[in-house]
Amino acid sequence: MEHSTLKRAHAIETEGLTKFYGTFEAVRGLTMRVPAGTITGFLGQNGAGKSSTIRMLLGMMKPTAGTGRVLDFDIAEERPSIEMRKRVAYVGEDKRLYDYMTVRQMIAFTKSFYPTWNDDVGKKLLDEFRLPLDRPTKKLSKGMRTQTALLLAFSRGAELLILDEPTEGLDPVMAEKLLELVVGAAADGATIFFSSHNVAEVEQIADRILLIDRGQLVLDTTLDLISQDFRRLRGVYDMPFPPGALAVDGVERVTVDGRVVSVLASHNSSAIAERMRAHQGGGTVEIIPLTLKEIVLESLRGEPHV
Amino acid sequence: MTLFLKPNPANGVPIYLQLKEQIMHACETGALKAGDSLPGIRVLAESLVINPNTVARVYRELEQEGVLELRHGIGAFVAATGRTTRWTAARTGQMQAAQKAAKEFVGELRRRRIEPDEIRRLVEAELSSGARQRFGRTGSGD
Amino acid sequence: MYRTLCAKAWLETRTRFLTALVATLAVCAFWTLGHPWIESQWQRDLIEHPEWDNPPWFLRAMKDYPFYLWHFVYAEMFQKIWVILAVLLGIGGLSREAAHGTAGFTLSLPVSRLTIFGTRAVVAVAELLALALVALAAIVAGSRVMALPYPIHHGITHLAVMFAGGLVFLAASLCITEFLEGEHTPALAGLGGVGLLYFVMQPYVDGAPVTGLAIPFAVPKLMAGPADITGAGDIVWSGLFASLGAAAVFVALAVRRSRQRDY
Repeated sequence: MEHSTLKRAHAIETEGLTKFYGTFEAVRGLTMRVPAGTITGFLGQNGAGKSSTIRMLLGMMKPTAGTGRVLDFDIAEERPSIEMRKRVAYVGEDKRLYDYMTVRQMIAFTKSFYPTWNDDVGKKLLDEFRLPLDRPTKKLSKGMRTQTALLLAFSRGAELLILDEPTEGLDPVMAEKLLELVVGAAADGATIFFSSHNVAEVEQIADRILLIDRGQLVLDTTLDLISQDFRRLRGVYDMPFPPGALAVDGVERVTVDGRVVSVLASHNSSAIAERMRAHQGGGTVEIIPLTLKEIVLESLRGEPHV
Repeated sequence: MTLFLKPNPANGVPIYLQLKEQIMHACETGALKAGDSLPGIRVLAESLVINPNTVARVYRELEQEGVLELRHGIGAFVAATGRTTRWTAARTGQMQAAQKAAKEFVGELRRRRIEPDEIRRLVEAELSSGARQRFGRTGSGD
Repeated sequence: MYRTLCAKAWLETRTRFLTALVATLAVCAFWTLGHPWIESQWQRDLIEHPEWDNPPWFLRAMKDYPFYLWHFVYAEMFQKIWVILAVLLGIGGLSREAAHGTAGFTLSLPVSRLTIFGTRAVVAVAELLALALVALAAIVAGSRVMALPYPIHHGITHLAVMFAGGLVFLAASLCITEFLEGEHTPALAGLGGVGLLYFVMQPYVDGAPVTGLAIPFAVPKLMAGPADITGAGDIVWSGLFASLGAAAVFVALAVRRSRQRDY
């Protein structure tokens, strides 16, 4: 799966990517960089703008404003977009196939477009999934349809895999198998960009996460930083806590609940703890690590600072 | 691959640390001996269903710490230096002493009527603030 | 790549095409092989019901076989069926795929929108041509079987004109499909349009001379062509070129829409 051109730093780059549906702004000024060779989870609620972003990256939809490059090809021009798609495998949420083709025909059809197609991977998956080659896809069970769709994507030898809610509707065994295929492709050097609202699976395999809320990017970080730097700090205060006392770098959100002041910090937790202790007159400040799920939920809960 | 358990992403310990500790534990208990080969990065990543970069990082760090030997193009092996064998013996002794210290510590706190959950929180807080200094960003270990 | 896309378009329309083929054969067989039977029915009606009106074409059709064919096949019944088939062959494409959930898969392939549309259009035209040739073969063979003399140039000319006319309807159908969404909406709209043309617009202008603005209204009549064809000189060439021009316009609109549309 060697690509003979220069090793690109970023598989996906966008600058101010925006999409309006009429007056509704589905994607607002999205600026992000996905490094090559990483697994990036694209998190967000339904309707947050994940699918719209993906469709713009693949040339299915034209951006209203902003620019984007995938594998260093401009997403807004048709010729570069076509070149890019030779090296990209996309699996949509639907995983539907052409009703009127058999499994064998779907494979032959898809294979004809991708010079990097890997027959060995295809055969291996075919045997492993025990897919009936000559059955029309409309007669396949949902599970087998998904397996066929995965076969078609992972046999392409693609440099970049873009997956939209890949484990949606899959049973746990199939979902884990999909993650296994993703990890295998990553080990071969592919970049994976997958959208999900399943935080657990993102936490399991991703290097980085991007969190999108109402069209805007609210979090862009690595999982390492999340486990190293993100902390929740809690202190008990008998006296009212002076607002503005916590205008410290790293404070993302402050919540006051009776006597308990809770702070979500993205970094700099020691200094923040110091500041909090200073206002207590010798009390304790708990420093608690956060799971990705907690961080995502906090980040999606309305406006940040107090 | 039954030697290693799938790391739990949500238990508060980073996945790479969990794997690192599992490998070290395997060396300590003799499940992995000097000269034994470890699974390739891809194979291990696929069987544990974790990011291959994580596996690569763990192998690298353990190589720097002298626990593993990475032979280019062939794979990862438990270092055949004296370190691992001596280390095992020393480690066992250390672990036993640590267990004794933990028992005393917990006993003392319980005597002061501190609840188990409280104890856990205090320890966690201590570890979290200490972890940054110890493990840092470059991940150099002990 | 183009080959596999054409194969896809073929597989997608195969059932439709085969049904159309059967329909074409059935109709052509009926009017040729059934001629003696129809003839005898007419004779009986003349005797038993002298009070019935005999339209001018009727008397001629009884005696003149090519005219009979012209009336029933090229001018009336088969023409209506023909345009319906042309419209149905044009349905499909990305709009339909969007309703089926496969548009994402197709659009993520490394091919241009023009290629996706073009291969579909080429296959549809080939299918229409095949139907025209089958119709010709069926009429000629059927006539021969019934020992009814039928000048082949008559058939070739009329079917060529019908094919050209069919191309316009096909192009219109290809175009509607790019603008309308959903599984059935384009088909219904297309058939609705045909119905409007044949059952509302055309009768409206029947009898009047076909000039200027009345031309679109009288498309069916133009497609039938004059009853007596002796050679290429009898084809209304201007009408033919105008039709092909209209088809080109429909296709251009369809291509433009296909390339600009968001999915």
